[in-house]
Amino acid sequence: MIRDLTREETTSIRREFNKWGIFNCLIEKVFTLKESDDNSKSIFIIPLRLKKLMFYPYSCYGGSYIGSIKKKKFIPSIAFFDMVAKYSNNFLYVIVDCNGEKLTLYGRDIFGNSILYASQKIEENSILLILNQSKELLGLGRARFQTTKIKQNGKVTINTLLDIGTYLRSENHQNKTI
Amino acid sequence: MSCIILPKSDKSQELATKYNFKEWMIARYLTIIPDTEQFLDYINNNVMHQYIRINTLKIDIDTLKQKLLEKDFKLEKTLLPEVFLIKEAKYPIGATMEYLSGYYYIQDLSSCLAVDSLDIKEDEMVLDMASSPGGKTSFMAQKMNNKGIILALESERKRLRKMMFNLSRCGVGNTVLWNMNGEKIVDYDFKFDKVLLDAPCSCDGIMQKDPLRKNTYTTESIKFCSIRQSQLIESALNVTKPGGLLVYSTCSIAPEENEYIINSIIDKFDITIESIDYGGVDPLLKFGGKVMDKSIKFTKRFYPHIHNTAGFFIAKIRVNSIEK
Repeated sequence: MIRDLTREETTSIRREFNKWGIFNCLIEKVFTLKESDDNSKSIFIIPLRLKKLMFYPYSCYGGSYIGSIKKKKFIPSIAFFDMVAKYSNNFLYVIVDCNGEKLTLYGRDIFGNSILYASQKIEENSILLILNQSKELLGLGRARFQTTKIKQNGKVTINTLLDIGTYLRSENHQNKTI
Repeated sequence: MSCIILPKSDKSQELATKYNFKEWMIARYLTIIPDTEQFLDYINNNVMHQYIRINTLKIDIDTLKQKLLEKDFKLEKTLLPEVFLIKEAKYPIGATMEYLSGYYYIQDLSSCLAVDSLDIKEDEMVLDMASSPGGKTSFMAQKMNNKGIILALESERKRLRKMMFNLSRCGVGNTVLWNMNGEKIVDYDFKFDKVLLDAPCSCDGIMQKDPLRKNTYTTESIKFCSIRQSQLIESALNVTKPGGLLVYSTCSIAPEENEYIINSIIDKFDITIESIDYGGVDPLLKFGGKVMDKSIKFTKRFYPHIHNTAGFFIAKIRVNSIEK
């Protein structure tokens, strides 16, 4: 079933857009929520002109899938972070070499010696974007160390949380509901 | 309609044995397909052509070409500026960073031609009647620069997830997906500027990708598909605006799923069959004793051994008014 979001759900998502500096992406767009049989709640951001079509009974997807809501918390998808990488200047990130790129695409963690550049204000447990040398999004990670120690040789310094390879790996699990 | 069985011959027996096909199929192919033996060689030798369509919603053509050249891909131009034939690739083309980022979609040239034939404009309302896995839908979104509206229908629930991921990967934002049979669209009060019906079919045009199909292909599958296709195309015509365009395509070689389907609507609807400008070979104007309407000549067939594409059929149908 597709429905409008409650005020609480909307606030939770708008807060995340604000936090990552992509509030402008909401102009002339609205959120809709799809509740699936397994109680998962998928969030879509859609242009206003699509809204009417979203509320028909057979509707199951529309606009861009930007994440889900679990236990009242918004969990952004890779498409959300793609918007962050494109439209925001306000995020922590690392740039990784070719080896780091390959590891990220397989969902593996990143070694310090693969990191070519890291933002200045990274702290332990900071959530950051993982970018390649062309500054394209590869995934999302959690730092194990602060900026000064993040390039340590032979040590995993970033845990990969989400990556663009998820798409490919998910194709093997088609029975799950989005 | 039922599958037309043609008389067997010494030649059909010889080729059926040589290429390990059912003889009734060969008897039909000898009548339908030009240079039949070359076609059978092509299928048997598992010759694979692979095309990519650059997704300009995410990247421009020259930038991606450069990135792929740096990874030692060899690309060859095609009829369409955004579609390239992969001549050589050092990595699996479905596992590169560029693929995962949605910079390109692995898609046969023939599929792209079907979308290109629709001549879609940015702000139109477009219907994709059988949409999974989303290649044609995402190409339509690309043509529309993510503007306008696409309503994509897919009846099989198990195919939805792949479709959703493909749309998401390719950055499509102007599409709503309904899990519904295409025939039911007439129950809703919509009229579309453009409609794509890439109809579910018996798929013998893609046997080189899936050789097992030559064993599973039956007369019943042709009959089943042609009945479904007739229902779908009538629904499609009923929801196309007067002046709007419907493109009908299949990856089937069977005339019962192609020329017969178009022929069956010519007398029922006020439509004009328009010409396809991409080469291809002429359709069958006579098959199984049936002579088709003259306007069928404007449809086109594509063959793997001639055009280096899937076996494919395209018809471009202009709707003049909704019913005759």
